[in-house]
Amino acid sequence: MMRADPSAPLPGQCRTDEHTIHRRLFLKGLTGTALASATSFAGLFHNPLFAEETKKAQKHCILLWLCGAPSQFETWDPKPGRPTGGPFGSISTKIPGTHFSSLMPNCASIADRLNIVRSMKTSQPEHLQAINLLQRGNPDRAGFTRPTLGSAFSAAVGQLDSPIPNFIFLDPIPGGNEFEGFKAGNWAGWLGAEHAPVRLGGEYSQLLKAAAETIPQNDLESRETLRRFLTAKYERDRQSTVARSQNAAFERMKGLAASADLFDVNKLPAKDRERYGAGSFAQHALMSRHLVEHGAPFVMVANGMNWDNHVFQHEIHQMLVPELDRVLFHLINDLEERGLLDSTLVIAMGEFGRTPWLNPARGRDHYPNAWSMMMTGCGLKRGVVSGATDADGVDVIEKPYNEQNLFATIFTALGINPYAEYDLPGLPTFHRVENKAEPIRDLLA
Amino acid sequence: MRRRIVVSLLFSLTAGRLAYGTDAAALWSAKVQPIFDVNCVKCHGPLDQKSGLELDTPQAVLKGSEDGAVVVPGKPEDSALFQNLATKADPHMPPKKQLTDAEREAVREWIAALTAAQADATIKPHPARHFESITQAVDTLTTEGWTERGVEPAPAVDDRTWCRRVYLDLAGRIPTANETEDFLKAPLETRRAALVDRLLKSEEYVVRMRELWDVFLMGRGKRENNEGRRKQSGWWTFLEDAFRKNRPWNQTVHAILVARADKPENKGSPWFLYERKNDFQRIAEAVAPVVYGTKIDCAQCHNHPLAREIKQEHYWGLVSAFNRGKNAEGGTAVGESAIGGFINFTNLKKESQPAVVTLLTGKMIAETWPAGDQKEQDSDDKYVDPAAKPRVPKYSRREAFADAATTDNPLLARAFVNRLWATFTGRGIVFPTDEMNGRNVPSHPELLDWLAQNFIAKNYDVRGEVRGIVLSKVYALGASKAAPEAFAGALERPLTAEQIARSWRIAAGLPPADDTLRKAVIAAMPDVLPKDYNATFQQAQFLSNSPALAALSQPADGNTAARVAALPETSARAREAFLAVYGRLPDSEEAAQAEAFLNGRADKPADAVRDLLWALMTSAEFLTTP
Repeated sequence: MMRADPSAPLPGQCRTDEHTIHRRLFLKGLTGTALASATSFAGLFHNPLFAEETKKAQKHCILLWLCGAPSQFETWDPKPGRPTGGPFGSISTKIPGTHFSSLMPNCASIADRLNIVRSMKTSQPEHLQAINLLQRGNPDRAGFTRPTLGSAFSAAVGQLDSPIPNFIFLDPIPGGNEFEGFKAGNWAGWLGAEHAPVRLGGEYSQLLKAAAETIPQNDLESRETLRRFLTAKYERDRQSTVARSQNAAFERMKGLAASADLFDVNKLPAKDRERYGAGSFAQHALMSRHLVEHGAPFVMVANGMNWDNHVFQHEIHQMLVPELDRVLFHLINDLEERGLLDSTLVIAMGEFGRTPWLNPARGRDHYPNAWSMMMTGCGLKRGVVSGATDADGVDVIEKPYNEQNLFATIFTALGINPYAEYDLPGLPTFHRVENKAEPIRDLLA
Repeated sequence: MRRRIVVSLLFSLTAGRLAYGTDAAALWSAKVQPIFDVNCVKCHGPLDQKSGLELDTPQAVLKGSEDGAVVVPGKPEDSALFQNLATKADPHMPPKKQLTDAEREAVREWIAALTAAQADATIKPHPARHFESITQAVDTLTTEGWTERGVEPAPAVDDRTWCRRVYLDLAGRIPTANETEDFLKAPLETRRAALVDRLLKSEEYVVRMRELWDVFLMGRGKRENNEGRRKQSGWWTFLEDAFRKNRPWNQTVHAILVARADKPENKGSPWFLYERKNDFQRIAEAVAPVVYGTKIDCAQCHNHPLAREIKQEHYWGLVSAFNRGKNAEGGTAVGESAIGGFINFTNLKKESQPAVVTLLTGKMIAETWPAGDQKEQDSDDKYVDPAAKPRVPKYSRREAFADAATTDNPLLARAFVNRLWATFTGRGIVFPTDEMNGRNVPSHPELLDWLAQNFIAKNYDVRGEVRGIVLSKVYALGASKAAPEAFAGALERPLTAEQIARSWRIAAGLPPADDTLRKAVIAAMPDVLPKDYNATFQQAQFLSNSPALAALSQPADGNTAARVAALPETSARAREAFLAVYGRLPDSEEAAQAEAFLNGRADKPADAVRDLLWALMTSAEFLTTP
């Protein structure tokens, strides 16, 4: 498998300095309180030098995963006046000649900092298969599970023992039909569970603090010190790898728990929360920005499967699109203000688009043949519209791109070789992106 | 066809001997083979033999290429295999890649260690030996293995630890204090056998085996409602019934493969196929480890690149065995058609061939294939009872396969005994457990052969096999630093979720069953016998925050926490807590820490006891088989 740094510790191993710290604490006896701050994530990043270095070296990615699949007609590729166009009309944007749906006035005002791909053309019309396709970037091959984008990036980043997880998945809604099935599946594929996302947000974040509410912090720390003593002794007496792995996992949790505030929407700045809006998607998108500011490499934000509007599509999109519009507007502005947009790739997409025609329930159904997505930042050009659909949005008429073209672009932007070969034990050979698929050149600087 | 099995078995036996008998063989499997697998075998192996050269086994390397030998034993500098790896070699291998110095050194070392004698090594099978019992065979052959490897076995564990181990394995939980005391008071000579026999007759054994084989055969349910369907469909009852009545394993597997609830004892058996929803490739991939002992997934697209005996026809043959099936709407029956299911598969060279049902043993189930232009007609007279639901065809391809897979198929028995051995020792005689193929040689070939043959001879007696293994010396050993495949000590075995849930309840002084707790632990810690153990932060989070676990360490009417908290002395509290949770007394270091912990919180003694119990119950010692 690809390992960025062969000298990096293996999964479950601790760094030597951690061992030194722990060992000293054991010798001193049960001095629980010191431990938490010594290894807390927040503590590390309060060290300005460390934070600065990490920020410089690290590229980030925020994937706003619009699961269920939004309509291109009500977002990036409006067809006003056409039978397929819907009731909302279009507005002009900062890009001369380009219109967005009138539901997106904020994004229209920063269109020169966005890139829109209007010619996505994929082949999977069913949610689960399409989610797999657009999360993993290549068609399925039976018997082999390809890592998702976040897992592939996690493996490329390496540094598994850093206190903030490489791949954070914020999804405040636990369920969600086919998406739920996907979530329960294997995200990391052949890269191994250590590159699976750490799931936080919503009630998952609350778990980080559940015990704290019933047991005082001091007691929690001393009982954990005792558990650690017992497990470390067992490790010593038995050369137990299970014990070592367990203590590493608790250490990791402690790092996260110490920075639990980062995963608590209630702890986000009130002004920001107001700007982004009260919805759980908006709040967690704000959280993703906050996490990236604190060094998180990859944050995926979802909100169940709420975009799948087979019924009353216009009514529901009329609620969802303005939230997305507002969120993207603030997210891009905030990242730019903080000097992070140049190193942070922001992607907003679903697993396919919606049909040009309405079904009897006034919904739009699944449509992979011609759909749109947005991505910007991280060294990509800005203000580009690539590809086009015909007058009714039925088919792509210019520059069709599939999932492989998209992923080649994403990996290139993130500074990873898109065609690198996975050195799997045994055959067959896999690449990050198969078939040497071309990236979307219009977007690359 | 029968000859092929024998040859492949013999091959594995010999390779096993070589693996630890000589330096060259050890170097090959530890260092050289992994390098060749990654860098060379794609062009020089079972799939492709450029220049007639194959590099996937030592025998193949020694055979050389169409231009002659590639190694001169003992003389790496004169061996083309080594010369061609140099940076400026011409020809240079591997093309467009450069092996590192360390990798080239490994190859050099291996060639240097080869002797002419090994190059001529001929296959000598071990003579069949007689043993009085499984336990005697295990004891004799593992002891010989220690001698051959030059390792000392670890000392045996004491009776208290052994008792806890065997309760966890056969009853799926730790023993209560009373059960341990009863065991220690029983007559020394017979108490171990007596306890094993008692546990093997218990319902707890039945449930434990069902839990294990449910996961081995079906995997953990991805979502909780899978468990509900498995229960409702009668699948769990079917498995439990089989283990309770000690149904011969080949009959159990036969019932699973035929998937007909035609007799009371087969009710529930169709769920194995049904849950896979007419996905015949998934079915084939699930059947292979059970009847062949190895996964064959990668033979979907091409012959196995590394295990040369696994061919594409085995994969697609297995798909064909099931592709006439169809899940009945509603209910859990799996019907079968009398016609159709004649498929072709294409190899990497785009050549097409018919997928005839072909077992890994070589046995083929021949059928007359309809001519290309001929359309098959389905008709009532092709079914036993045309009115039945679902109908059973007079010729059932599924049944023909099930018959072949469960009679005269030595791989079925080998797969089961290897799995069972792994369950109770932490590692298969062939490892990984479900990859018993030419690539993974058994650590104890004679033992595996004997156990499998004996299992067949004893009519696939599951209970007898379990009994034989847990009463052996190997099972009673303490931890060791020796290589795991020597079985010179107990290997680490993390508890399964079910074992943890029940054992927590026992430690807390409560009856073991609690469905809510069991499901919560399964969700957090689903692994059963993982190949690599990796604790995740989510597991730590679960152990820290689970309300169900927290409730167990809260003092309440007559439970362990209340009982310990009621003791007047700190030292007595520490002792009792260790006894209740670990089943042993603390050593002096542990006692000092525990007492310091309790004394440090003398203001809130009940909370201190609660937290001491939590620390014990979430520690590695508790969560691992002793």
